[in-house]
Amino acid sequence: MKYRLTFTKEYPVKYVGHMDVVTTWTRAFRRAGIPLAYSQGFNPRAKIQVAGSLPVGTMGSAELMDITLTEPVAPDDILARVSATLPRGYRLLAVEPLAPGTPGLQASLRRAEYRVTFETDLPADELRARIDRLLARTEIVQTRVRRKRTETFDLRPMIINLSLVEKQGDDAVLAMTLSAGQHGNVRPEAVLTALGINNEWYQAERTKLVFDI
Amino acid sequence: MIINDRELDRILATVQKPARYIGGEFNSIVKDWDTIPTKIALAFPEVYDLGMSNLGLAILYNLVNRQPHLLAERVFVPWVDMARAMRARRMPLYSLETRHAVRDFDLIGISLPYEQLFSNVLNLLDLAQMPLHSLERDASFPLVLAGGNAVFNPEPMADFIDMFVIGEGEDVLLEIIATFEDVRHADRDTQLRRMAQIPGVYVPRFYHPVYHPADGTLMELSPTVAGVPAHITKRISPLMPEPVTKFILPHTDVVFSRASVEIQRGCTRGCRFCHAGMVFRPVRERSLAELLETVDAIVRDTGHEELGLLSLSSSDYSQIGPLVQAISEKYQGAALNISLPSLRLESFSAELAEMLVGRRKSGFTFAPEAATDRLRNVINKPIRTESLLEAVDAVYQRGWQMVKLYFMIGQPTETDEDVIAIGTLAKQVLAIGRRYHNNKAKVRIGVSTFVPKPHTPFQWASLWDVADIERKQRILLDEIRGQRSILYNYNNPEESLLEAALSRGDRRLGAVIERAWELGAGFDAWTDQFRGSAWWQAFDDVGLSAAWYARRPRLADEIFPWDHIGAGVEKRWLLLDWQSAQQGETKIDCREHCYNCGILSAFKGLRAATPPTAWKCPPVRNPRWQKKVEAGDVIGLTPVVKASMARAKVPEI
Repeated sequence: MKYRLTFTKEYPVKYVGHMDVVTTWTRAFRRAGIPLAYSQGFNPRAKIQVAGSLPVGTMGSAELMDITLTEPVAPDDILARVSATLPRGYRLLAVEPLAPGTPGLQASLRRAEYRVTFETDLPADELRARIDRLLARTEIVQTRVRRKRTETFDLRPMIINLSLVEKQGDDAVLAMTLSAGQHGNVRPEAVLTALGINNEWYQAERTKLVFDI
Repeated sequence: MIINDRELDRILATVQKPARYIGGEFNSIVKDWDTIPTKIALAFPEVYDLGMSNLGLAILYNLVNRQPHLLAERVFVPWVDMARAMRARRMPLYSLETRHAVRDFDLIGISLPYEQLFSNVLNLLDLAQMPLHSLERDASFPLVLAGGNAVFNPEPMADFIDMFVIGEGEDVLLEIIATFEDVRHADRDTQLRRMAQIPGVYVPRFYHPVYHPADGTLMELSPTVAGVPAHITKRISPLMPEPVTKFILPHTDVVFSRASVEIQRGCTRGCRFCHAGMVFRPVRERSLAELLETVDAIVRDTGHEELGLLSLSSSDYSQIGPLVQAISEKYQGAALNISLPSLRLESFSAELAEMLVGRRKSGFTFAPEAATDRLRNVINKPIRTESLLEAVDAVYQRGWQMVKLYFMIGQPTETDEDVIAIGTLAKQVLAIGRRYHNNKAKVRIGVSTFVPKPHTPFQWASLWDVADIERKQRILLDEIRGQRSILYNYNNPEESLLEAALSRGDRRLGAVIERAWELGAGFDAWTDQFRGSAWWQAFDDVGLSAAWYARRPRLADEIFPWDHIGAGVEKRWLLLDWQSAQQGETKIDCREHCYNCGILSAFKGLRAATPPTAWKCPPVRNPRWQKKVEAGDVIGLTPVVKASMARAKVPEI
């Protein structure tokens, strides 16, 4: 039996890496008495798949995870029992059973929406102007390190939406929709860099994952 | 002072593994800071990944936090990159639970299980923005206490620590905190005078060492103020303390990621090199019923996949068979890995372990410590080579493809033949493995350097010269050269030299530790962080010699810097056992025959108040083994050891 869970990853667990997040949830399911299915073999692992690994330091307000159980459990029951035993910073928002044959999360992930807060003394008009100039470009070449190799890539086609939400005091908030998944994945930091914002403090939150169904 | 989210974010964005520094783990206990009157920071002077594996810390954390009027929070030493970032921003070291500066606590309890942590204690105090020296901290600073195995010789750390807790902390910590609440508003000296009245507490500022001008050894170490004890006997829990079940689940993959429960404390085998075996007497067991309840509770409270049943010698637990059987029946197929370390070298161990493991048979570990019958008699781990090979046969036969064997080189009376025998034994073991697994059979030999420890029969022994240890490591390597199925690990003998100097050091080493820390020493237990050059320069700068501490022959009547600290086992008894070692005389398991080591006389009252079967000590019999030892003798050194000392030209101070 497969289920799809919607959960949050907030402060302070935004600093916990992807693999350790899986361990945390595995133990929570075990404490809650949820009958997880395990892989066969030398080193059995719980069948848990989390969509689009969230970079260390980024929060998530609607993350998704598929789990496989050895026997059916009522979704409300899963929600109540697991919620009662989660560490601070995670919340379980929804549980729904998955129809057999539903494609896996990783294969169909296409886009992600973010809300990015950062400190800046630039006025709102200047920020809007920079956004407009950036979006008007046809190519934004950046470099990044991947698998210990530095490579260049074009950021522009990966920015689907970008806008200023608000500027309050020293804090500015941007909304972004960026490519995610196997066909191109980019982090919100890349957009900040392209906007000429190299703050030492910013806070990214992934608010939605968008799939190709 | 509380570190706020955004301030921490700025720093954490720049460091490796930031999850080490955030707290909020499942089962961590966050109390209301403002309404709790007395607060203690429990510090493990290592990085989170290591400190979180420490059972002692978990026991004390739960003990204190069970008291409604007290609060305990955790503190670890940030890794090098984080420490640098914190110093650059003047961010003080903070606790993980509520992120209060360490300075804001009333007490800091530092765990010191081994000497390689000494330099990190200075790191910890400095990052906490506190003066390093006890005498420079008045009552506006938290009271700094330290406990753990390494403080059975507290002297090297005496300059930095306000008070040492000797023995088992769970028996005395609440008493110390209650006393603190009584003298909270007094000045530091008055506070410490009250603390010094608590049995098991040692306040070094009230004691003064005097050294022989001629040879630099200790002449006396005695109280300088009235009303403090001349001799401090360790504290023990008469019964096993309540087990921890709500283990904090670390955010990151830590060094030993498992929950654990002590099945017993102490060991009756009497291995002469073993510090834990001497200082953890008497042996106390947990009942089978309590263990089974505890395992259930741990699984329920943590959801852990790994569980360790801890003891110094698991095979000696009286209910080991029923325990293993009950657990394996109950948790079959539950994706729970149960480890049972420290199994005796006998075929039954393979049976026990097989009951516990499901599919994973990665490697089976035995610790023969020496490779010849003769040397194993000297160290009092008398297993015959043939029984050892039978045990190994049983292990390979039951499906394990790798056997790991731990040895020490540099033990008293050791000859090159004993070292070569390690290689010979490894080859014999491999040959057995090949009978069952052909070329897939493997042997891993882990060879560490023997370091003489205080409060053991080998406290009179000398560390071998670094060059000699390296030579022994090479002849062993030659012996197994070309054997691709024998894997060989050994340690850096310079690390052993430092450990040996610190573990039997005196109060003068405080200056060395401080200088080494100034020169960049820290995280000495990490091979890639160990800075031998900083330490040797520190010894030079202070005008002391590491070799003098580690390698000088010690006379039978020498006063040791730890003689005023009592582990219960008497020095007189250790000396006689040291002499027995020279003759290759062994002692059997002391549950079978009491050798009158002193533990029962030291704790006569406690024993009388404890159920008679709770301690595994039999009644004392007439000690026919006692022999006279001439004062001034270099006790029982064999010609070989004498010759090597002459060769090494052990320097005088």
